[in-house]
Amino acid sequence: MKVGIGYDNCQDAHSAGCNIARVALEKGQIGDPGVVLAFCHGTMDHVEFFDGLRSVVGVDVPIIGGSAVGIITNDLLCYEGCPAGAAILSSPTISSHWAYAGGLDRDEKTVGEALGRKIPTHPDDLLFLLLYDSIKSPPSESLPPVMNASPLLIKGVERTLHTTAPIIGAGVVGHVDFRPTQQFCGNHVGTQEAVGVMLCGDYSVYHCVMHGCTLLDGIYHTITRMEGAKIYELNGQCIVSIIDEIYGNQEWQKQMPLKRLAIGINQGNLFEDFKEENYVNRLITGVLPDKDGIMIFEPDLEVGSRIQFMLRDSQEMILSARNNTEKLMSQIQADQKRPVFALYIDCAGRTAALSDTMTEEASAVVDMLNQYHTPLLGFYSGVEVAPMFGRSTGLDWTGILTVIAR
Amino acid sequence: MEPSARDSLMQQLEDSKQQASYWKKIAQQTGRLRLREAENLSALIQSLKYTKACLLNEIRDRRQAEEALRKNQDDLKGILDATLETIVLIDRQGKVIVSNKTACDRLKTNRKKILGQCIYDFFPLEVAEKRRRKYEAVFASGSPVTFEDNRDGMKFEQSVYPVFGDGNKVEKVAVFARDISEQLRLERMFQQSQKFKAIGTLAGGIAHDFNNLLMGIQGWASLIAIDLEPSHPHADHIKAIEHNIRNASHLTKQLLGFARGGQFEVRPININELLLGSAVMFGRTKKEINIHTKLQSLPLVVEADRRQIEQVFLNLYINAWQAMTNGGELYLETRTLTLDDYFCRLYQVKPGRYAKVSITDTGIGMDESIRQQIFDPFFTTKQKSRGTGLGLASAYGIIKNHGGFITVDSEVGQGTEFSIFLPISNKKAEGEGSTETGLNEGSETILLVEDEEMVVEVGQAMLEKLGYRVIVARDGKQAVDAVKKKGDRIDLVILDLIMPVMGGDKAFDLIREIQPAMPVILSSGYSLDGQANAIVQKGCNAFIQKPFNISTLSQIVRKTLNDTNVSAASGA
Repeated sequence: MKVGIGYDNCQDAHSAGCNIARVALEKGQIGDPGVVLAFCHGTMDHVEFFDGLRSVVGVDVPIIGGSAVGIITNDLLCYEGCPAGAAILSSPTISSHWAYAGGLDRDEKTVGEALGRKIPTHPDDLLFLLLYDSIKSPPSESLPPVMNASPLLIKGVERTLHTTAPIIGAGVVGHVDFRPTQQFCGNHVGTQEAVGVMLCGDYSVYHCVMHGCTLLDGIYHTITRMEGAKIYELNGQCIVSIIDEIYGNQEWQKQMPLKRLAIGINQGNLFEDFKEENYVNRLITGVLPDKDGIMIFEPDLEVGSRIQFMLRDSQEMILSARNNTEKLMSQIQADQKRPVFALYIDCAGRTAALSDTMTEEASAVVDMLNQYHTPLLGFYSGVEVAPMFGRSTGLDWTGILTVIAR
Repeated sequence: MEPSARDSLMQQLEDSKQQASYWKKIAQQTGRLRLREAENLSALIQSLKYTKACLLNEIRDRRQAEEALRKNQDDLKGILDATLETIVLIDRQGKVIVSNKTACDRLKTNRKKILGQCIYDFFPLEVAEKRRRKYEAVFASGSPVTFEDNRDGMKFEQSVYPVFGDGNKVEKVAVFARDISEQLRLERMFQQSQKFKAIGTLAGGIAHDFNNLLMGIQGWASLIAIDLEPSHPHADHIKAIEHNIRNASHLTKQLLGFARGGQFEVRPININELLLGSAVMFGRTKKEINIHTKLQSLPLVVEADRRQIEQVFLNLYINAWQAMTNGGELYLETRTLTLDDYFCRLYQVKPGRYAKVSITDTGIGMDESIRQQIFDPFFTTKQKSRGTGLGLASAYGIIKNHGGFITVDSEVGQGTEFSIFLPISNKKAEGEGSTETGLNEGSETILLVEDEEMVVEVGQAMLEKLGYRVIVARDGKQAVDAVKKKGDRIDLVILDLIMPVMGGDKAFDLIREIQPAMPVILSSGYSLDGQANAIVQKGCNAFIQKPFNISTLSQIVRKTLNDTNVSAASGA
């Protein structure tokens, strides 16, 4: 498989698209592009960018992707200005099937079902890459943003797409302040759409999830009142006053989303020693306007769910990125495989700008992949999708590293 | 269960509840402390980030300033290096602080080596001492100094300026040294050119007057010769007179050649043919010289007077022969080349394609002092009996007059190479015209316009001898009056150029106003240059250069009259 990566940071979206495609084709020495994975910052004209790419690769080559807060490549990591990047894949031994479905803001599950139905399955399915619009409605002055629900979308996909390939992907965002996003749906640019591409071929896919949250105090709390993604009470007590008590003040209520505190759901044995890989974490998007509850990223919890408060630990985040990448690449090497392409879907909240670190978490991943000479395209997302305990799940504040190896 | 055991169990349960509650409280407190620490850490990191951003900004600003400074230095260095002047800045000890590229090149060093070195170490002792004295004078006086000196065969003009430091004290001096060798050479060339021009004017004037005198002698001699029987005892004397007139006439031609006044029949000619033809002729007479030719294969066409260029070649062959007293090799080479603006400026010619003719001998050669004077009129290194000193001067003038130039390259004992450069013409070369001989008579009426009495007398006599009727006018005004009064009876006008009252130029215009078809032959002791050429350009039918004999006169007059009659008959 030939892979070429292109990057640019230019306000003129069309010329950025052209330039990125040209560089990617040249770097990958690609004459017959098969599929393009492309992302650009939310401030850019997505249609112009899409057309720029197409003017170089041709109209028959599907372009999958969409908005991104920033771009990560082997050489550059940027979330300022107008970062944009693309990976062009080409191989006679790898094939792709792509589809899209719209209307996420009305019903995520139906969109998922429609999308899954359009993708043919094959014994050598390698990876289903799922990208979708993660913003149902942007934030207002008083209301936190409302996200499209990844669990419902994934459930819909899984219902109609019967494949052994892992579903990995992202809910895309183009700005850190959760403004509306756009998606590259193969042959057009859309909004409130989900787009998926199934890669098939004689390759292996490796992936790992980077975390970074630690238990705040290990105490389990039971949700006693909630509605959708809004939680009102824990253990019969107002969750806002519980968080006030944890912080010792009400300053946290100004944060949107909260920078330190998150909610964790232990998917493993409740009383085992803490293992980060057992946890699905949910970011708290903010306090509700009436101060009677909080909003979380996904509406996948219910009354009776037992949750723990988690602390977003920036040092643990960087450590997790470094250790997990090293472990994954060592595993590929141990399997006597050669990595040919890496895709890093990284939560925008993990940037140094939003996580109070002096160094970039993604640079730990980049450094490691560069040691293995693996071409990398990464982007900053809103929600990450990866398998946990055998089922794909929407994740918050994680990084999903996927490596295709031969 | 025993009550005591139950109480104990209850106590343990109570203890464990209290312990759990205790540990929960501890965990809560620890968690809250960690969160607050993290929040505090967040504030600290934000502050660190702010500090880092400030530092980065400062570093960026400093880098930008450094970059601007570097660019500025690069620009200044670029300016210093762009000039062909040597520029150095030195301190009181003569140590080089700044040096431009030209300085490094001239001193055969590089910037790294020259900086910090004593400037005087780069020069021979004598030059170094002279310069040290001059520089020290600037340090002492604080006033700029300009002087000239020589080094490595080049001449430099040095301007030394004081650079003041604190307390208005001269701390350094800036030295600007300009190679003026080329400028001096150009000045010399210009002076020589001016000198040649002045001498040329003088020589032209002398030739004119001398030609008029010769005209008289030639005319009368040729008239006597016609009437004299070959057996007459004076026939040989007349022939001797005519021979001497021819030699004298040759001398005036050389003079006119130098005076750049000898060009009178410009045609496109193949210079290869001319060079080869003249070389063959020369080779026949000088068997001791081996001639080698390397001529450009294609025709090399220039617009020139065949006879004059032939004369130039002959002069150069003779010069070569005289340089090779015991015989030798003569190499003739032709080729085309394009001369650029710079090269042409040196020789005051127009840039473009030129034919280069090289005539190289293996003779004794010459030194610089002779080379400097080689084209001066009357300069000769030969015995008085062997040369007039006009041959090369004439060649120089003729080539200049053709819009070209001539150069010489020679070393003592190494032979000499003369190179002639003539502008290439795009026209097709013409062959050599035929020369008629014998007397052509006629009976038409000719108006002879001439102020020199001797020329009038002999001219009239020759024309009448040829059967023509002659009317004489002594100046242009008389000529115009004659045409007004007797125009219908005059068949041809022979018009002198330089005359009192009214010159030939104005007279020609007025005659043509009265009789537009009147055939006019221009006659002059000067050759066909300037004024004469202008009249020919206006439509004058022919030109005859004094001194002329009866044969030449008869041919030109007859041809002009015949051509006019043909034109009239055809209604042209």
